[in-house]
Amino acid sequence: MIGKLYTFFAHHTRLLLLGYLCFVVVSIICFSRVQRQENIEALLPDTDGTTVRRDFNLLQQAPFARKILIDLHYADTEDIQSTAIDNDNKLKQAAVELCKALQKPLFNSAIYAPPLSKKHRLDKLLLQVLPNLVTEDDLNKIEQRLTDKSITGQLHKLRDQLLTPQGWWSKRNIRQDPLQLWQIGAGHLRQLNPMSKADREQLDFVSADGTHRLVVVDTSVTISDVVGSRQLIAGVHRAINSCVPEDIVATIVSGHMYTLANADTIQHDLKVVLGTASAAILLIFLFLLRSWRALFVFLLPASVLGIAAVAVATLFPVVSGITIGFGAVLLGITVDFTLHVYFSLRGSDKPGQQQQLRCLSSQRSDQLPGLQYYVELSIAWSAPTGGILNDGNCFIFSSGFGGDAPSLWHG
Amino acid sequence: MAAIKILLSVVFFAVLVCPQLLVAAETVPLPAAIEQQITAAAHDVKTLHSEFAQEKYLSIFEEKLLSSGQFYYQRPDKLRWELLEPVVSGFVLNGDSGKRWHQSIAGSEPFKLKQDRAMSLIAEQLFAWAKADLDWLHKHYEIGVTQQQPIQLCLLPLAENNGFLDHLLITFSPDASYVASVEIHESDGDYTRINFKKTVVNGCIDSDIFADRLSD
Repeated sequence: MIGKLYTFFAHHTRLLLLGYLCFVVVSIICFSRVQRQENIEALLPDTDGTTVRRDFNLLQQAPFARKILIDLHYADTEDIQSTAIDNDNKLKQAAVELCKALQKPLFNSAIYAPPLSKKHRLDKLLLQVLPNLVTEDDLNKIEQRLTDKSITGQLHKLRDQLLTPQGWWSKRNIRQDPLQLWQIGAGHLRQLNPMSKADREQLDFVSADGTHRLVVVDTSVTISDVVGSRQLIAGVHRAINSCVPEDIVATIVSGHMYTLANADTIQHDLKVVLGTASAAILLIFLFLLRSWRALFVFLLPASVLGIAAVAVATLFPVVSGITIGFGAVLLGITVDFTLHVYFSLRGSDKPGQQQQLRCLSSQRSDQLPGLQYYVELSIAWSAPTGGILNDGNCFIFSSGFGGDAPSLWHG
Repeated sequence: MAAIKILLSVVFFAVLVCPQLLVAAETVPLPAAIEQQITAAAHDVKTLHSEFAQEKYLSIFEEKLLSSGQFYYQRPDKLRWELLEPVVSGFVLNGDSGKRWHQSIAGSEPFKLKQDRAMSLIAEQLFAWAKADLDWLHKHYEIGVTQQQPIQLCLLPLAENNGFLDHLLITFSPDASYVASVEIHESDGDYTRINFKKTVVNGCIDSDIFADRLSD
């Protein structure tokens, strides 16, 4: 069949070129349509016996991993002519406006002060979780509180408390927890004071010297999600540009910034390396083959990448960018098959060309050098990471196309 | 027979579960004349000093809890509330800050109303009674009159401010210049009655009274 196609296209080179262009366009469209995931989770092992993915997911759910801290302060306080009170008012105004601008869906909440007005009922919460918090020492303390003398003293204390106006609000708590065991749970929080230098007078997140204000933003975007992090940080910058005066500096501290910096560096390096390598390979092809058709030898396998990515996406709706990257590297291996075809059939006036084509299209699979990579991929297939599994799929799909295609364009 | 049972059930529900219904049944809306009388009398009050006796009726105790103390107020935002028997405990308020003390602890502890929600709510209530601040009361309560001489107001908290409170009964002095007694009825049936006596209106009050705990 390949021989017939070869004969047909040998006499219809324009049609072949048109078909090739269509193939490239379809590949580009396919590539652009594939929903790419730039998330480190795709590379984490999820096989039985490993807890890395679970641990990483739990880590990402930790509150600190979903916070963005924005520090607001004046660029150079020496040049500011206005008073410290004016400066503080402006800083506070900027913080308030910034919080208003940071809205859903990217941001769950933004606060410039501790949420003291919310009725958290910490005592009730601590009482509920007390069985999970108690230590041996705590059990001893509880035992001491359960002596007759201690209970009597505590009841007298509670009765006195009920006589005061404060007793109006505390009666319900007293009935629920007369021994005030919640205080034992609270003792565990004593060392946990993340806002030890917050200004209690102003009730805002203000530094001890009053020159810095803090905005704390909560988000659902995970720190491993590069695309989400990029949107998130862009949203923060938009809000800062629209709400914060130019003389106030906003410093962003967030795990998402770290993720973006890493991703940008890696992507930049990959672009440089892959761009340089592609250009170098193309030059080598042109130099060694000494024909403009070397361009096809190089580009046709490369064009298969988009279609291969779509084929992978049918199995995995979201394809990791890393998978596509590795798939492209594996795909480059299939180029040597196109080279075999090219060198075998070079020269249209060569005798016995039809036999060679038939031989090529019907030879046993173990004679095809490309198939050894399928064997190699059987190793990749059984590898414990989802990422490598995806890479294998990408390669299989791409080499399936890339392996059969060269004979179509060779002329 | 069944109808009687249903009727008794309804009465039982109305009396025991919804005490507000009974109070509301005896209450008429606050007439403008009485409102003006209270406002005018309160306008002339600059200082107040009173002793008080408190009776607490709590379901967790068989007997009523008795206590007594004294109360000082100076317009616009100074207040001292202290229990003297059976336990020494109290607080002073001066603007948005204050100090509180208890006999078991030496000295006093400063606090700010902005940071202490419970004290802030207590201060609001006490200032409203002392000032007879009907504007503030209108914002937080539905005000009715249960008797006209002496004037007794029934305050039903608006839904969003309900909390533990079912209703308040505030009885004024015969000339309506100060509050003579307050009953605080809670939603679980418990209530507290505070009777003010030996009240002195516009007497001279030493500024130290509103500063801190007084030395024994």
